[in-house]
Amino acid sequence: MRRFHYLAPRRLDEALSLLTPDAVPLAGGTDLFLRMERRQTQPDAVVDLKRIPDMDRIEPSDGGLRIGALAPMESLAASSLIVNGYRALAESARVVGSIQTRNRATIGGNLANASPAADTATPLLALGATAEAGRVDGSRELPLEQLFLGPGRTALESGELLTAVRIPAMPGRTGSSFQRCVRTAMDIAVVNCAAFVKLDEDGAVEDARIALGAVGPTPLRALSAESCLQGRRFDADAAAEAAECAAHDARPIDDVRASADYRKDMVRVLTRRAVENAFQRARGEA
Amino acid sequence: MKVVGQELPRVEILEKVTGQSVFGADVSPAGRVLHGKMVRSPHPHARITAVRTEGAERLPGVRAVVTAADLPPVHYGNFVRDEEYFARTKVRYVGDRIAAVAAVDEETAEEAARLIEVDYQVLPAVTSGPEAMAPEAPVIHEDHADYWAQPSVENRRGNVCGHKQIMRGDPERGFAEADRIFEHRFHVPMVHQTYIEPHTVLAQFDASGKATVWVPTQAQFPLRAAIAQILRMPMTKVRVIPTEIGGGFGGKISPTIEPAAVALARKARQPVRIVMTRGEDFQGSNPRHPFHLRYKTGVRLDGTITAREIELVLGTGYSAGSGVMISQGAAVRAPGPYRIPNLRIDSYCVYTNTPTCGAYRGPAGPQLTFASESQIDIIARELGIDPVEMRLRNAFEDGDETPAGARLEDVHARETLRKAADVMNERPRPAGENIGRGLAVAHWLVGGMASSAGVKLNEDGTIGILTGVVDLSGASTSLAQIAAEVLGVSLDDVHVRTADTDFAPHSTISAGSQALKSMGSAVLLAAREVKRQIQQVAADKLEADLGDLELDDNKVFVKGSPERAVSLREVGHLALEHERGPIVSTQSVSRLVPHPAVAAHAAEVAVDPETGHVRILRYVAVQDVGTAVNPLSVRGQIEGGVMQGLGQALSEACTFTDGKMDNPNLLDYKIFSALDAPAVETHLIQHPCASGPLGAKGVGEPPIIPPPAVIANAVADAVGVRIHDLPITPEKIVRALKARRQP
Ligand SMILES: Cc1cc2nc3c(=O)[nH]c(=O)nc-3n(C[C@H](O)[C@H](O)[C@H](O)COP(=O)(O)OP(=O)(O)OC[C@H]3O[C@@H](n4cnc5c(N)ncnc54)[C@H](O)[C@@H]3O)c2cc1C
Repeated sequence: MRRFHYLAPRRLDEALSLLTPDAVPLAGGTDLFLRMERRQTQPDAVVDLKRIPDMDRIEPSDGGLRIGALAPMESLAASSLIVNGYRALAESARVVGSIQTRNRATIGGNLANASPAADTATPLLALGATAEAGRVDGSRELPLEQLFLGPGRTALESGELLTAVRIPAMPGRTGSSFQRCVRTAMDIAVVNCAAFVKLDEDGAVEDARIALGAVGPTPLRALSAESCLQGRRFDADAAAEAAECAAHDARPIDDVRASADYRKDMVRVLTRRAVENAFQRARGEA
Repeated sequence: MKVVGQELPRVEILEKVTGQSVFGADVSPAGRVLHGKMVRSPHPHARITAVRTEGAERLPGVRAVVTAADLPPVHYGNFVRDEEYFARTKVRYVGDRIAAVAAVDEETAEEAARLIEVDYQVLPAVTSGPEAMAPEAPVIHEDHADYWAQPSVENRRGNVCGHKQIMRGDPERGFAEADRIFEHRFHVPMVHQTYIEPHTVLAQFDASGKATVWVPTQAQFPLRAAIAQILRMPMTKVRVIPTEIGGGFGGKISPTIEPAAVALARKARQPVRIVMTRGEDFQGSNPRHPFHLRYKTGVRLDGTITAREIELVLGTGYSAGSGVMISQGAAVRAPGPYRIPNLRIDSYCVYTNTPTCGAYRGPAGPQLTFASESQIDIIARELGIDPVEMRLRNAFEDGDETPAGARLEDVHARETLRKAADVMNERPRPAGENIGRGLAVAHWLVGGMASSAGVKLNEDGTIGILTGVVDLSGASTSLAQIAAEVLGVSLDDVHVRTADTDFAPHSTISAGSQALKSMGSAVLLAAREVKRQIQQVAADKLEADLGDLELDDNKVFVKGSPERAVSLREVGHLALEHERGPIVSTQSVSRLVPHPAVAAHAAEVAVDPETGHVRILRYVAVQDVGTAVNPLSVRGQIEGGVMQGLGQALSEACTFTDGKMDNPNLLDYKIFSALDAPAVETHLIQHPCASGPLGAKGVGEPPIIPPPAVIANAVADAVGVRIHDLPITPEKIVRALKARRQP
């Protein structure tokens, strides 16, 4: 590892002002340090965000939820706000790494790292989240879809920090579910999938969002699968058709973890399971 | 017995759990330590046309650069002398050693390593055994016929560096007598030990030209000899000091970075430390041999095996290493723990452009057992016989012979097997689909190696043991228990010290499940001699007959009248005044008769037929251990072996593309973690073994051997597909299920 300066500001504005082009932000370090050790990132300075107060808060906001970028996975998995209202997100946070990893790994780091397999990215996409980006002269909000540009690349500009994630309110008759497929218990997803459905009074789909991970250069929305569900009532065929559409939406590759073929198969399986599960939850059955 | 057979915590445990133990990278000698770094080949096979070191030598902070030019032209190897420490004319695998550098800090060393320029003429490479045996395959050692080899290494040609054939009975007749003949092929990839501590070494030279080498090794005496041979130094000019070791599993026996560290320290006149990165360790150490296996088996309809024809192709890597020995041993164990009258076994050891494999725990065991025990299950199912019955019908017994003709004693295959089946059957299968059970049985042959140990009585009545064996997995504790038992003291009164090559009496290596058998036998002899000496001194003091004296509770007393006693502390003092002098004995043993140690495992699994994910619901491990000197250690060994075996069964494989390893990291080389680990139900079969100390058998290797076969059989039982190629990944199961649906 190359030598670097370690900076630990105590205020957000101070942190923002330290973010020169040769500096990188540090949250839990569970991705960053590995990259530095492998010399894939060789910063002059590391700006540690963990001393900034309240940047890890999980709080109700505008009827929905605002999750500070520094919130660790373990807090997400344990938060009753998230467990009760945003099941898919809690489920994803609960399976990241081991307990040791989850105590360090933050939601902001998971998103800013921009891995196509990031486990919290798919539920957040399915739940319609937005990213809050802060800079010295203010902040902006962008839909999460627009944050991811490619493997390891985000729309955050130099000098910008991801300060929080916002998720809209979850009214009644909504349900979400997260599913993933791994090689051993502690693994990066071979495929992950999150589904969200909102039903109308008759039990037909008013709104559906399905997101897939590790099957393209970024976490992605399975748009044709979503429209396939629109207006439908739940039955086995609906879930199976959505799953088939999702397999078309996926763009997997062969790599050391799995073949593209297997990934497509898993998109089918996981999408069907996630959709079924989300439906059950929307109907208060699970 | 009072101490032997008790579940006692390990003697070194406090130092370990409080972080005080000194592991390889913790050693800090006087003087500033330089950082060493290896320069390795990026090509699997290439001719070296030039090596330029000037750039590295000129870099400020660099203290030494060594290449083949700094070393004598030595070819080494225990079985075939086919290895040169630094490549001179050719590189033969990605990771082959070209040079090493030492610098004032790690960054400078890394920079210097990058500045060494090597010109290569790239050659075609082969990475699998069968490919390397093809007539048109590139030859990895052109002139290996000229290399020195042990006489037992036969039939060397092309890339085959050894071919062992065993014939027993009349295989042709055996197959003619069979009602059915089955033939299957299997493949097991290379897997790595993934000990928690990567290879590390610290080397220092003193003014007299003596090298001291601190290293976590399983084999200090052979390592001393190898370093001396490679650097052409007098053997006792090398002192190897074994540190605490963070796991070895057979991967820390052969030399890796040690000769480089010594050569650098000599040239720089400063101590040099080299610590491998995990990636380097994956590609520059001694993993487990990949195998291609063909099993042909003839059976009668009642399940009796009439003949087996077995062909084994072991990919040894770029040099013979221990591969030839392991392929010879594989031939002997290949038929499994069965009595089979007619056998033909061909075992090939083949050069490949990959790292040279070593003696990973239970060498060849998991590979052979996966093939053999998968096939036994297939046959039993085809014949409609219970797989346990089929195994019991053919299991070997006392008096049977190994394929090599050695007579077997202390065999408990049937009992072990039956116990595993019984424990599994105690509980009914859970309801539900895609749940299955599988079982496999395997054996390991535990020999013994030349060993010696010293035992003494201290003046305070405590006992000291001096050994040269590295405590890899509880050996020190068990040795102390043996001495405590003989001398009537508690474990706390026994101090065990592993000394280095300068001071320790020659001891065996910590490998092959024989450390306790060999060293325990030496300690037992020495403790018994110390007991005799204690009795001598006490007899004079108590005015009793030596034969009437017993040792217990730190005292010597007259049988029948415990009030006539003298404490060991007093004996310790008396001995100094006594005509016989201090009480001490060093005893030796040589090669010991091998005994079989059997492991039978059974698993219950649930398979998700859509994702292919295998969940282990129950895992039963039964092992024939002789006397369990410390049942806690024995259970620990079994649990650890099962976990490693399950990784090999389900997720581990070193894979290569164009000769380069695809997954030299713990993210993509998937070992079993605590989150994957099932509870293991262990059961010990204890019958004292005639050839082991106080009846103990070796326990380390057997538990890693059955798991791949067990899981393969359980998965087949659960979802009806048979995987012939390890590891049994979710993806392979899904593919097999799809293939079955659409024929
Ligand atoms: C053993 C282990 C297991 C893992 N298992 C999983 C898993 O199951 N699923 C999964 O998705 N991931 C997994 N990971 C990856 C990793 O833990 C997660 O991606 C984690 O959420 C990263 O968060 P962090 O706080 O550690 O980020 P860091 O490593 O601190 O940062 C990651 C990147 O984001 C940048 N960054 C961090 N915070 C901000 C911010 N607020 N604004 C802008 N940029 C920022 C950093 O500069 C860096 O480039 C695992 C990692 C390990 C080591």
